[in-house]
Amino acid sequence: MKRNFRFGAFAGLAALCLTATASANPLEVPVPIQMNVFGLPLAFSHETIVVCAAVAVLIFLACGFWARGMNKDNPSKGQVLLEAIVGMFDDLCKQSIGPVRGRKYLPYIGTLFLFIWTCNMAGLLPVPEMHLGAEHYEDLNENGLYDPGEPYEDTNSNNMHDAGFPVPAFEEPTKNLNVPLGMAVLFVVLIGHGSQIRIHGITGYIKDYFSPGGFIGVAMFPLNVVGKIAEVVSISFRLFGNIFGGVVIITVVSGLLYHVIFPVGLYGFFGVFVGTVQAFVFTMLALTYIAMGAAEE
Amino acid sequence: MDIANLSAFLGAGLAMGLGAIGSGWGAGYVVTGSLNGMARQPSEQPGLFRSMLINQALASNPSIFALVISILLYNMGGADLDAPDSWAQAAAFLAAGLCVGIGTLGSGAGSGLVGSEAVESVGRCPSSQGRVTMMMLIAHAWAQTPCIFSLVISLVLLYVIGGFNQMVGQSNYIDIVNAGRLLGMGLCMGAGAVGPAIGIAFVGSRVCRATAEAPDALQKIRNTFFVGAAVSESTAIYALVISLLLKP
Repeated sequence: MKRNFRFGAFAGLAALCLTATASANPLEVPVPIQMNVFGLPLAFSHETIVVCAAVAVLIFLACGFWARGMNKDNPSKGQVLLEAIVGMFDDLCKQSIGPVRGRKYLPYIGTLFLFIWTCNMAGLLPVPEMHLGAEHYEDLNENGLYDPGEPYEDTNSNNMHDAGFPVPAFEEPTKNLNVPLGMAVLFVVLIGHGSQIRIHGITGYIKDYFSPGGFIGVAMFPLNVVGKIAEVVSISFRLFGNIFGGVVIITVVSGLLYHVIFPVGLYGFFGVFVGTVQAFVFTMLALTYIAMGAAEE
Repeated sequence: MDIANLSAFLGAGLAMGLGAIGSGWGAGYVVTGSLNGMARQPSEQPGLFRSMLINQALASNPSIFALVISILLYNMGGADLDAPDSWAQAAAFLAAGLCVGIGTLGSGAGSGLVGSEAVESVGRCPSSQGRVTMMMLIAHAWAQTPCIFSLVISLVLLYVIGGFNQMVGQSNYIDIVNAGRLLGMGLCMGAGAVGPAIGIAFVGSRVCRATAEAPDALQKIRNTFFVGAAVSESTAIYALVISLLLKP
């Protein structure tokens, strides 16, 4: 248990350090961290990293706290909640994939739902983009409201120091198309197709592309290929379109109403309700696509 | 750049105007199923009401996609496009609006069909609510796949073709030909998404009822549903392929 705490703190610190490095660039366009893996450029956006940090810290701390008080005979409220969530996904996996093999996919599916749900909820936290400890040109703008202004840019000295400690704004990472697309590739292609190859063999996997079989199967091959690509496209664009659409509606309507009262209801509907439903839909579809290749006979 | 601004505003209006038709019908149609279910099982009123709200939210998804494209087009129309006149760029904006506008007709109405049947099925057999909800979510998602294809084509038309002024500076002949290709691209995907969405929604609505009536046969029902819906969806994929081939 102590190890859980230490690991959680370590993960959170590491992620915060990454965030700090990511935000310390003077460009206006937030360029994410880029690295080359085998020649392929990989990029992480700030929001993703912040949410990753939050999720890591929260989940590890929660595990540490709740695991200490867990008791089979006299369960606490938190334990009942956790057990209900885990039990629901356990049932879903068992129903879709099968009683034995379904258990193996439970960690993937549960993590996917928790990650996407936390991503969709991240926009609710009222944390604007800040530079802690930065010196500003002016504190009041022309309307008399507080304005953090642009931090000094002194290229001669260390940029980190002058710009202050950067804290990026909390926004839904899922409104950036790269995040849903990455999750779709990871879960549909890597886990879905991967487990199909592992269970049915490479011949069984290729045979699936000629799916009705025989002469018609050869004619259906191009359609099956497009269909497999369309799975990834539709699952990722559905999440992206919903979250991005919600953000656009909240921004536009809040601007029209001068941010009086109504945005709370909008956040309740498009933030909490649609975010939860779409996280569940994404998880269910990923589970379904995995089950198409990995279901027990 | 008068023509592009004109067609961007025209596209914005068409996208939201056409996009509201299907979803509005669908979101209203869900309530009829809810009322039928309440007439059958008055004691299940709170559960049916909750289920109705979820289904209405899902049925209005396609109109949210139309709204996104509409607002993006509105911003592009307001921007000062500093480029010579190009029929192709104007056609890209108009086609983006038409594509998502027509494409959401079927999905909105189809989602309404699925939702209505699902809520009524919960009223028929409240004990299988969990399974019906699961199949309902999958059926909604599948019925909205064609309209997501049209959203993708719209975004391609907006950003890959319209936004970077790629079409500007061509000779007059090529400009007109490209305009035709782009309009065809938008209309192909938009109109091609209507039928499959309604077809899949018929499958999905019957699946919800079958799940409520025979919960033990869930595995067989789901297999039939997936095969049937995939074949029905293949017509939308034909439209997607042709529409990507038309891209200049």
